Amino acid sequence: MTKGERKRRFFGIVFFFMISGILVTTYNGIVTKDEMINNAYAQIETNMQRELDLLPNLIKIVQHYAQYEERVLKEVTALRTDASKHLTAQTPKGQKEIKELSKINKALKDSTMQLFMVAENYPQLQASENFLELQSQIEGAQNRINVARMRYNDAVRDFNAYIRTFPANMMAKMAGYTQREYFHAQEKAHQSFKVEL
Amino acid sequence: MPKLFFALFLSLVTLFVVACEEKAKSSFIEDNAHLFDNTPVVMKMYKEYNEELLKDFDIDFRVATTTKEEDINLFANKKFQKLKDTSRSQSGKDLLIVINPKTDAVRLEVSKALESVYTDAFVSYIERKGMVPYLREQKFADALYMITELVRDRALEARTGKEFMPAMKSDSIGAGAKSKANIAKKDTHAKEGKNVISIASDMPKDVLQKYIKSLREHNKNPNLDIYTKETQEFFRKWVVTDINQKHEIHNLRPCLAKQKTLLDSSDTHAVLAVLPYDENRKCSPYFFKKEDGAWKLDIATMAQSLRFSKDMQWHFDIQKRLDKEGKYYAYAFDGYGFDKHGYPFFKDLHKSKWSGYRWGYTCAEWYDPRDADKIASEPKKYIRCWISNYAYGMPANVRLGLDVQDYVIAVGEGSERKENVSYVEFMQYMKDAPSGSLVHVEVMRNGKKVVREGIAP
Repeated sequence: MTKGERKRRFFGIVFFFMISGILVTTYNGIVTKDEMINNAYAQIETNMQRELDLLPNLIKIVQHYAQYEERVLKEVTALRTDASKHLTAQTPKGQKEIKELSKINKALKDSTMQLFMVAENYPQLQASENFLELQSQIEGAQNRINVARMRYNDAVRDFNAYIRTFPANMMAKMAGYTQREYFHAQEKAHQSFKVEL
Repeated sequence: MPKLFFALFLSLVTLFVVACEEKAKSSFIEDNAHLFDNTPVVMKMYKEYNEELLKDFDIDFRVATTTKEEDINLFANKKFQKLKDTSRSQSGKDLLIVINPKTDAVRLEVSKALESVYTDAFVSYIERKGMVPYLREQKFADALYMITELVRDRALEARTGKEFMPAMKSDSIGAGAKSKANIAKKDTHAKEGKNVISIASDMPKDVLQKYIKSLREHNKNPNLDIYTKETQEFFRKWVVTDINQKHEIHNLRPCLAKQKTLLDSSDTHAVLAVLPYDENRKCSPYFFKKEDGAWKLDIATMAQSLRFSKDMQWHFDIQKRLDKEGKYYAYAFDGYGFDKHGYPFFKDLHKSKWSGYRWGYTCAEWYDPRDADKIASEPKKYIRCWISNYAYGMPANVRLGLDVQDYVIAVGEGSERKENVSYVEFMQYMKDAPSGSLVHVEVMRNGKKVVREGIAP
């Protein structure tokens, strides 16, 4: 092998490793950012489940003071059952799953807000430590959902921007990665119920 | 070349150390709403407490006040994210309290590392019961101090129960709670409660039991008959929370069975004490005074003279121990010296050279330079006394508060006052003071005139 051939081979190998390195780094970057989105989504679901689990206790306490109709509890139970089907901790595929989750979130928020509004008419209930404890736990879950949503959207923004830039755009296309959906606030609830006194 | 690398390495190390120190010094209070401007004393106490929280538990407790019209939950989380890079905690244990007087809200944001210890329900509870009563009275620094105390108490429990999570990076995912602050909205029902009467046949222990019952019922009526008049005045101005009352019962309970009643010679003052004081530092003495023929609890004097360490060990405020009514309770501490922080320690005087002394002090001679030419002819008239020594645990120090290098200048008060007392006159005055009478001694201490009053043994 001549000196020139050896030189060409050497640079060829270096170039190969450079390109491979870039491709691997880019692919890993896409995967990492994709996982961050999945993780953030899971946090949203976890905290929504937490809020769903607290709701029946809240209803029972409010019922004890406000003497609600039984149907209110049935409607909440139905909301929980319906919501639980969607909270499967699977990775969100697309717009449909995100929209469903958003609707469930809105329904949850509406339900608890109505219960808290009703509680304002009952000073004894408002002063009850059990009620106040539950209220703080539910508000805590809602706040965690809000933070998780913000982080989810940050992760999506980061991912979407990344796969639009070179060379990630090419790698994303090759590997089948597409832009992800943002979590938008819903105007109307998927299912809400009115609490009657 | 090696020298260059060494120099570079040294520079990097220096930069690193300086950066770490700067991080440590960064302020943990951002008071944009100027809530703490006029309370330097309480804020000083709070800062010391805050540093101890960091030192003892590695908890970085930050404070931010704002007047932005923004959701406090969002504000708190954003502020937390900004501050986490300068966290003083090595294990991600961060707390951030936000007070917004504009939106009338308060929020404690909790980091991931502390979520299991400071649950949402607990945080909501300490905000409502511990902070808001002070915020209603616009006592912002006191509110901050109170919540730091509650945070510390919980941290102590958590450490004992091994509840702390392993070290992690500082982050908050929205844990904590917010409460309506009710700033300047006084609770008109806060100081309601039925009266509790102290009858003539009640002994101090009976009065204490009535007090404990009122604590249990969260009775915050400041005008309870079981209180002295000074104490009623004190409670009219003092903020009392449910948590304060719960804590007092918790601290009192283990001490009740060990309490002894120490009555003074005139049967007008009593102390419920757990002896020996230096082996029962968590059992505070309780003071009682007879008013209108019945024993009443003198919490006003206790608040003036007693202090508690972060471990709830009681000690005296050395400057205020004998002020006002405090001097009438000093008899209960005969036999105890006090260190510079006011912690009592027992002195066995029986075999000491001081046994047999009444007051336990010695005088050295001094004279006013203007009397220099008269000393030789009338020494008894012009030689005066300065306190050269006193015995720990003896009345000169315990009851009268005399100190070494006190220059005695006058004794007595009113028509019996004698100025420029001589050595002999002072010693005679102290010797002749009837047991149980109030003794007055004016001294020059560090260039200032100070009046010492105490009950003669």
